[in-house]
Amino acid sequence: MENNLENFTLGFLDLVEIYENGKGTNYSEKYFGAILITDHNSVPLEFRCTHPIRPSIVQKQLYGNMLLPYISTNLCGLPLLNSLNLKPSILIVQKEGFLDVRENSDIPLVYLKTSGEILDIQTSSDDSSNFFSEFLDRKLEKLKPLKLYTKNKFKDDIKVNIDYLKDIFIKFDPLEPFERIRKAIDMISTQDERFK
Amino acid sequence: MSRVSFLNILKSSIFKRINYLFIKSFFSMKQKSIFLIDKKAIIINLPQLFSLKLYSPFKEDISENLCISSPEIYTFSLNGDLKVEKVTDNLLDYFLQAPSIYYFDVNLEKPLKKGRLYTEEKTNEDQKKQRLFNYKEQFERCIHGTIKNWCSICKEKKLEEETQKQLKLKQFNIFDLIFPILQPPLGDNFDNQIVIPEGKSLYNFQIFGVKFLVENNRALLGDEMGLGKSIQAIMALRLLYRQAILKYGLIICPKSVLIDWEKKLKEWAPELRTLTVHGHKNLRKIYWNSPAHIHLATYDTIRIDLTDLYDKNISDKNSKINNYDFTILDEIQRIKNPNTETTKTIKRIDTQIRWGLSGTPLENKTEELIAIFSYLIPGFLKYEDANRQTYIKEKIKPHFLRRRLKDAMPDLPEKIQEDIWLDLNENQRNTYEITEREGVIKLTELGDKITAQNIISLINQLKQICNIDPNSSESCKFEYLYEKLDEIIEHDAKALVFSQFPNVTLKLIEPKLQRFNPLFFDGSLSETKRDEYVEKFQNDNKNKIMLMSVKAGSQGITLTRANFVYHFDHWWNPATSEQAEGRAHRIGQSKPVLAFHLYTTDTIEERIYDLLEKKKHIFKYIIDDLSDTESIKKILTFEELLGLFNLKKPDKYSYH
Repeated sequence: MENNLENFTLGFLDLVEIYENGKGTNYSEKYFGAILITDHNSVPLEFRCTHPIRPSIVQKQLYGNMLLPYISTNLCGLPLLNSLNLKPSILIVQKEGFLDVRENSDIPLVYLKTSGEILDIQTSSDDSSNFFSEFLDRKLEKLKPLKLYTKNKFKDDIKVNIDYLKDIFIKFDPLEPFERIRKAIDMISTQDERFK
Repeated sequence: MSRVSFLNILKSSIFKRINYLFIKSFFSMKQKSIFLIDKKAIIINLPQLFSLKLYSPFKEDISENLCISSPEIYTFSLNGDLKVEKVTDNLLDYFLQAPSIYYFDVNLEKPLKKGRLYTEEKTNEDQKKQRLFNYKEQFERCIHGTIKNWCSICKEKKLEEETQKQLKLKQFNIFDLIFPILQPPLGDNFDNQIVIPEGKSLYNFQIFGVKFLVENNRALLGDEMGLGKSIQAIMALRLLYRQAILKYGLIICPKSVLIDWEKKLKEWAPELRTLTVHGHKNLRKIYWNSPAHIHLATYDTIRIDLTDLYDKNISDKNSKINNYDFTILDEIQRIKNPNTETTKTIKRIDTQIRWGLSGTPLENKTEELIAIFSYLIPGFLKYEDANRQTYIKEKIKPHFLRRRLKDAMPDLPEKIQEDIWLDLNENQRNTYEITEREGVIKLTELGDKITAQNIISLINQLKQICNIDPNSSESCKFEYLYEKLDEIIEHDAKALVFSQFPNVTLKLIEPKLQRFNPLFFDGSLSETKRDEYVEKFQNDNKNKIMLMSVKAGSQGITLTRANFVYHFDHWWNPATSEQAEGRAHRIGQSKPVLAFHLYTTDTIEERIYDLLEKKKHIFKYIIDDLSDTESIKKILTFEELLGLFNLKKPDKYSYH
């Protein structure tokens, strides 16, 4: 197992929303899809992101609740996965919009929540009973407990990888890399003309 | 019916109609676009606006005078009851009196993707290979009718190509710049093994120093020499870069330690992209304008370049330079004179975070402190208070941290080793390159008769030039040593300087060290003279430095009055350096011994260093008393020895 753990890589897939005029009545938002591949110590190996996606007011209305899942899966998730040089052993997401990525990808995907948060799958026809979950108690490490979800039909994504994930998630907080992604996108979107 | 399929149906039905109904000459309409009547109508917070039923004129109705006056907008609720509410009239009343027409894309386009694979780090291996002498190229003919290497046009072209190549290696894009942010957090105590580069560690007092810097935007770190001020500053930078607090910064240092800073940054903060601003004017200009986490430059470069760069378009010569987040001034006492151009230029650099580093004891030099703080915290101290030493000391307390070697003793090992990397001076470089070129030609011409001794002889010749150029007397190692000696003397300490070439290195630097009353100790000394010199060094405060031949000074004698040791060059067998350090590091020594190993970059010294680093494991099998030549044969193969000069093994050869 030790050898395999050494080669075990994680892909943190996220959608970062940035409000151009500050969140308020007169704002417009842009979305960046981003994926950070790390080794089992959370050291970065690869990073990819999209140019900003700016849905117009009309598009937002037309796509309705499908907007974020569509952007997450079709415009960001799958294209980003296809652009990777290093395919991760597992994908970690914290936004439900990415759940459908698994439908079109062979890479196991885990939807991560801090335990206690309510599972709120609004945009999918699946309700929470269609989900398989695993609880990770990290009390000994003085870390917040976590709950991992997959769709029932992909429950092996968790079952097969749970030992690795337990080992890894006691070393670092798997929600923390999403914070790095957000900061990186913040910098990219302000410093590079192509991403403004 | 799922929402996705609803959307698809909706889209397809609308598109069909639009494509059919509207002719392109009327509006320059993209495919998959639909018309919408007045943007305002959509801004209304309609609960569920999923569909727009458009005015659908007959083909014959479409003319230049067509005005759409009757839009139809419907809302649907999707919970199954298919309730359709016509809101057109309402919208017309409030918003659509004078409807405007525009079109938009229904489809969100797939965005472009960019990124980086960080496992393919740029290395300077290619650069090093490029710089190796190539015998074949040496006599290659060029299109201008002469030997390529002698042709000025070809030479200029080659220089340009090399500059471009170097720039390409050093130019960073946004994905390099976000690299620190993508790193795992360092944590407060650096207790996570992955955050400290492999093989490195921080002492507790250094961790304290890092915290002190992180918590103080304006700070003076005045630790005594050898306690790792630069490393503490680099680790503090890493922490702030990882938190995305810092993006771009400037480190200014004396020329003698420029390359050493570059190396330390690379070793201790490999994720930070540093551009060392040096070279000719045009190259420097490109460096200044290239993005990097850190621009590293000397005080002189700052004085010359910043004024030049910023004043061209600015009429006010005192305007602030504010495109950096931080500045670190190493040996900050260099700006103690407020009237120099350097000080004036530096004072124009306006950054939020300003750290000064200095090993010189400043606590009792109030005027210097006031001058330094006039940059760190303008207006904080006043020259009128120069005589109020206690007041000044008290005031700077929160911003000033100084530890002495003896304070750090509980943490420190008895002996600390540090490699110092230096860049050859200009004339020294010229002499070095000519000697190497000529030497390699001679070796090549030896053909099958080449022996290890021939190569070692060239190596020794080059090592001597790395120490000091016999033609110009330039020596980057001496310049470094000379700067440090002042600091050592201020601490009432003494130093030993070792070289394997006493007559061609130490003899040449001796006259320049007269104010430190050096003692010259080599194999030619009589027994009585030896004892006299040892006695003098140990007891006479006048003699601050002893210049020693490695062989003569490696055994028997006790020189515990010194706790600073400088190795000007190195034998193949590392045990020799250790024996030499043993003169100071032995019973009777009350302070930690700091041994500095001086190396020059991009020379035979660096090539040997790299090669030996890969062979570290062999050292333990080397018998200590082997001669240097014997050691080489134990450590390197003949091919490796030839490889130092890019030479190939001849068909017949003899190593022994």
